[in-house]
Amino acid sequence: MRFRFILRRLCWAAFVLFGSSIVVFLVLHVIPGDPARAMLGPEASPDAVATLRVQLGLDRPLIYQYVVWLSQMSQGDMGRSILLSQNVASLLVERLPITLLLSAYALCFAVLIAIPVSVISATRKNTAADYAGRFLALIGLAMPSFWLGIMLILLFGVRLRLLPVFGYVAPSQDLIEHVRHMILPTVSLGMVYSALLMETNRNSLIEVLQQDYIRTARAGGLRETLVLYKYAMRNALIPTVTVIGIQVGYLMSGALIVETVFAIPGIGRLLVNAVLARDYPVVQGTMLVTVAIFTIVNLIVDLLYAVIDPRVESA
Amino acid sequence: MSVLDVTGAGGTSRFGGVLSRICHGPIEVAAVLIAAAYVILAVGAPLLAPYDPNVQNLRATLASPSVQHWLGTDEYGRDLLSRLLFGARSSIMVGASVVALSSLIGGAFGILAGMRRGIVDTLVMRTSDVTMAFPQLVLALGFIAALGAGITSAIIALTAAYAPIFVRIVRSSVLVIRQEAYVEAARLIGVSPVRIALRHILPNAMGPILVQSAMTFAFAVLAESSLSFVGLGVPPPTASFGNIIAAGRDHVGDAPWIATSAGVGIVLLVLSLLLLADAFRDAIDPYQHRS
Repeated sequence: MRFRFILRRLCWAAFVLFGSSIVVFLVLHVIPGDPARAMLGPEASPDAVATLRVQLGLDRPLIYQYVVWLSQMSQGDMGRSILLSQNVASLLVERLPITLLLSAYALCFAVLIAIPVSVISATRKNTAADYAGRFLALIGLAMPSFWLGIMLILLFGVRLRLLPVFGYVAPSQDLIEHVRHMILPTVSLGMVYSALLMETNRNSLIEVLQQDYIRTARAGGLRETLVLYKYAMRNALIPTVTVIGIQVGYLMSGALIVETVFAIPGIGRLLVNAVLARDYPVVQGTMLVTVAIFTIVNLIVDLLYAVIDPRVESA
Repeated sequence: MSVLDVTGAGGTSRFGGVLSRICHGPIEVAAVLIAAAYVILAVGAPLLAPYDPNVQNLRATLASPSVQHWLGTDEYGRDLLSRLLFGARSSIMVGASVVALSSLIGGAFGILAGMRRGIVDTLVMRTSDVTMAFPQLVLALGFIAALGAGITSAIIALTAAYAPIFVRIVRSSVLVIRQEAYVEAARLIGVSPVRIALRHILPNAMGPILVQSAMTFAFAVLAESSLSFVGLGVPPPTASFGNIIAAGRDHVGDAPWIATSAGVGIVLLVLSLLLLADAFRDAIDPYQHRS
């Protein structure tokens, strides 16, 4: 049963990746006009455009182009960046860990904030603490992460001069400086994400706390902390884990913009600059890698979900 | 009778009934008032703005809030209040266009998939699954890379990102509603599928569509501001919340009011829309609200 479930999810992930590759390919091949002309600009000579068309394989039939492109992509050959004159795959290998690190920090920050606040909110439903928690979550959801970043720069960088506001230092280079540089981007990105988790976990915990087995546990004289953390939280966390998976995309979208605010050299900044310069090989490579990460994380969450709640396998 | 139709009668009483179900608490009333105020300010921006939002006054650059300029001026001496009013106009225009297009396109495909089932359903749903596998902003950036930066591209890109959500919501509503006895009766007396869809199914699927529309509006405003912030949405000198914040970032030390006021503008608008989505949800399912 479990093997069939895993196989089904793997096939689904493979289908989504295949479909996404078609979308990525088509998005940049159905441009009105000539992609080569769009990349080189209106001033480019016809010879230069023709050379780029041949270089990009645009003179071949669309299906042929897709098959060639897909086989190159699957071998890690993502072409060369027009803007940076560098291999796209090596650019991504260089920058992806930075974005993943920022996203991981933001996720940890979000969970650390969201779980305690949602527990307080759920256990003190309809009190001032609950209203304050929910208000915080709503404000967090309504706030653009890039604006929060700028406000944090204003407070901690400009006014208090406590933290650096631009750039990135690798952990291998200087761990303390790395942490100092990542605090503000992590908070900007994580705050919005924690708002999503807070609301989900609160609602789910309230529902679980009303169930019969919790009433029985309380009636049996178990301590409230034991009831809450051992019995209620395990079930309440099931929807939260799903939301964590689904919202990884949200986190990565946020990272694209937050990296621009703090001048962090991750794939977000790479993608934004590539879109501005119409550097298509970089745009395609980055989109494909992002969707692959998103799909893999969702696959892991699906499998984890089945471990937490075995009923999922039979669904 | 549709899900939000309380009196069954037409005209003002029906509208009043719907409004009273939405505005069932002080927070919901505040949300409706704020959202309405934004719409009025955005529509009336040309009349209400004290200055032309694009006229530069190099003698009054980065002026702090004063009687002449209530919210101060930016680096070119342009009145910030006027720019924010026009910025709200841009955000609401993009948000409304994205909601209209994505609900129309997504709704049409959702109805098609739910009514026809079979291969059409599979094709529509698998396409929407694949599209939803992309983080929305990444998909939008892909479209903008292809179409070039600008308001129209931003609207098309965000529509492509949000339409699949409407496909799913409408399809699942259609699957439930098409089993109802009145739909079956309509089918038996020979009513055409298009008429069944438009006359009997769509009005009853409006509840979830309304909730999703308010949420999509909020997220489209956030996405548009993000795109404009990085220079891929509303192009300067046209004002938008995102490009005002981008300009304010460079002067966050000496003129913090620029980025701060534009950010507050976005937060209030998005907050009111999210609360409105909650109010719609409660109006559709009062039991869930009470529980």
